[in-house]
Amino acid sequence: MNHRHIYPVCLLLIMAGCEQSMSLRVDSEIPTPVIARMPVTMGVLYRDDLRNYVYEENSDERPNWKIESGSSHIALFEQILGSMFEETIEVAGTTADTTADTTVDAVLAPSIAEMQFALPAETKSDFYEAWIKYDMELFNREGNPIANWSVTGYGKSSTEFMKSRDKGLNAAVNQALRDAGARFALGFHKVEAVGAWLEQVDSSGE
Amino acid sequence: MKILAVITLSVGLALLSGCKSTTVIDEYRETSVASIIGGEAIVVLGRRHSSSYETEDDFISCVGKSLKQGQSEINVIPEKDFVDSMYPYFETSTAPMDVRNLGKLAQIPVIADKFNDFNLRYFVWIDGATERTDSSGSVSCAVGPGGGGCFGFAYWKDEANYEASIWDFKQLALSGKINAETKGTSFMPAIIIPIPMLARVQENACKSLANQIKTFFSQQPG
Repeated sequence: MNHRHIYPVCLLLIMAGCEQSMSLRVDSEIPTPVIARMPVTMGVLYRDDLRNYVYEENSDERPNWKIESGSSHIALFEQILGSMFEETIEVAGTTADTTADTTVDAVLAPSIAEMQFALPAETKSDFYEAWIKYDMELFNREGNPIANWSVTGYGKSSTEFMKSRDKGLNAAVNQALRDAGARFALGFHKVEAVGAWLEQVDSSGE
Repeated sequence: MKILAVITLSVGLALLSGCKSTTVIDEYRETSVASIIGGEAIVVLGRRHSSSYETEDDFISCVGKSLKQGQSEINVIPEKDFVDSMYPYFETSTAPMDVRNLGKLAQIPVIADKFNDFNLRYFVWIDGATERTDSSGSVSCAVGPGGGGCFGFAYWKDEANYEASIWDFKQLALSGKINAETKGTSFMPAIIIPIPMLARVQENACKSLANQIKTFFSQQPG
């Protein structure tokens, strides 16, 4: 190899190492939950803003950050809801009015309120961190609201030798998704209005 | 060149004797009997709820592997397999923090079935981390058309502190606690090439803790 070529290659490698922009597609892995199914046919409304969710930031500290996680949110809810309810049916629509569907007991519409990330250099810690906050809306089959509440998830991933920033952030987001899924699954019946509705469904089914 | 090699070797030998780690183990027994009957399994799990540190995955896996080795081989369920198969009950935010809550969890039929499938007897919860407490010195490397090399000296001190809480699932009681504290200093002299002499603090803490857990299950107090 000609020596003239070594220096540009080295320079490119150094520049790649210092590159702060990011384009990441989150790759998640959510296990099948072991929970007792509720005797409910649940409609699920995945709006486009959840399905195509992209975190974008363009600041001095985070130039051209783009983190695509839409498909991971859908995969999370498909996995969790499929284990929580007797049956889940995806419904079409965009607003409360259009969620009316007589083939289901209720319609659940998750949306993302906020996603946040932190890098080890920013927090002076040894962790990549991710937070997700979902807004959950539950409508009855006529499209009237039953309950709305928030579900949060937090995940962190330690910095390890040769672990890239993308891998570290992906692992933190995956943890946050798992955490949010766990909190949602175990906390669903504890939401006061949801608990009351479930009792109603139980008594009408007897 | 010959002199350099002799110097490197001498410095290396001198430091090699210094880069050792020391481990202190404390054991506390709550119950007089802690034994694993044939076929029963244990699971080693890491606590990760602290905001300032996280029990490392590789430490938990090291303890699990060490418990499986040797004469008194123990049936250990890998952490990831267990946590995934118990999802969502053993996530950082949902895992039971004490034996009483484990008892409540075991009353859920699907969970009880899973525990039975694993033939689970003991939960070993490990909380702690390995941290760098001090570092000094520097090693500089340079590359030129005629070749390259490094020169300098660096050292760092690591400290590992882990506590294992052993829960007896059959008795729904705390069986005991084992604490392992390991300290060590690593050196890296560099004369043309860097020669790392590592104290392997985390690895030694893992081996010591695993050995003590084995003793905990095999020995009855006198």
